[in-house]
This record gives sequence, C-alpha cells and structure tokens, in this order.
Amino acid sequence: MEVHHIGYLVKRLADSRDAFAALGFDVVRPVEYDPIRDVNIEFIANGGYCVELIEPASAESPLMPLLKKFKNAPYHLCFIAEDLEKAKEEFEGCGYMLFRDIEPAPCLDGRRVVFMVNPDIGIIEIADKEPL
Amino acid sequence: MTREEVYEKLNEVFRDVFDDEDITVSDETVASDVDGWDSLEHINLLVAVERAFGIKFTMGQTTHLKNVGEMVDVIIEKLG
Repeated sequence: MEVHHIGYLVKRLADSRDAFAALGFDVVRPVEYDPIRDVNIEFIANGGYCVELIEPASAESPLMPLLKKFKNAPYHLCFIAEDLEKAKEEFEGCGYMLFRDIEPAPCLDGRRVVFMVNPDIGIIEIADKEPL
Repeated sequence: MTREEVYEKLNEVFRDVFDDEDITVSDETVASDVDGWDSLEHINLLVAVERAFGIKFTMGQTTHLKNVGEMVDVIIEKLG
C-alpha cells in the first residue's frame, strides 16, 4: 500500500511548523480543526515526505493521552487503501487490532480512515483512496 | 490448561508488554493497578495474549473485560 503521510504528534503546532520549516518542510495544507478528534492538523512536506502535524486542541482531545505518552514524536504511518473495509478486515486477520473504527477525516477531504495497532510496529492509519 | 497454567503464561505476557519483570496479575487486577496500562497498551496486551494462547478475542470481549479474572475466563473458554 502507498504511504500517504507520517502522523506526528506535537504539543504546539506553530512552534513545530517553524522547526520543521528550518529542516526544509513547507506547508502543503494549512492548519484545520478536526472536530471529531478535537485536534488541529496541518500537512507539511519535504520532497516525497508528507508529515501530518497533529496538535490536541484541548485536554479532552482523545489524542491528549497519546501526546502525554509519546511527547513530540511520530506515532503513525498512514496508508492508502483501494477498499477500506476490505483492508480493515485483512489487517484484523493478520495480527492487527482495531484502535479507532472507520470515521471521516475532515482534514483529508472527508476521506474515511481507520486506526489499527500491531504490537510490533504500533499504530497505523488506513485511509480511503478518494473521498466518498 | 488449568487456571494456574493460564496465569503462568499470562504473567509472562504482561511482563513483556509492560517491560516490568515484577508484574504478577490476579483475578482482581485492573488497568489502574499496572503502570502504563492505557488504551493503546490495552490493545498491545490483547494482541500479545492472542498470540501467546493462539486465540482470537471478539470485538465485545476486547471492550468489556472488567479485570484480569474476566480475561482469564475468556482465555479458558476459548481454549476449552
């Protein structure tokens, strides 16, 4: 499957944007609020590397526990699936467990995404190839 | 496999997942008793348990286990 981006948890998105800019990353999709996960999201890229900066917007964000656990750090790879339901089923059958079930991702043009966990590599996100 | 044998293997799983050689779980053990047992580690734990015992939890079982004793009940039922 094609890798779409690397998900990167950050405590202060604006500061992280500046730090990544010094490393050659440009903003490719300015910051947007995702009300489903209560996070601010911005996409930046350097060459073929696309990074999703994810900043919990409040203490109640479901991503806040992960930020406390990982600090400023990459925490998932996002892959593109031709058939999201089929991909979810296949991964569940080979050592992955559901972390967050299929939901729309407003900052990915409303494409649906699912988060799964494999103890050997951690969290992966799988996204629809195109918005429904 | 007896309940004691299940616990022997399960303690090995817990020690590996939580990187703590001193963990010993019992029927009454809950997430707040184990340092680091959050929602993400819960999933890592369940997958590790599945692998160790060669079983598969259902979606309901992964979200409704109240304590380790209930997890052991499910393991024994599936091994039965």
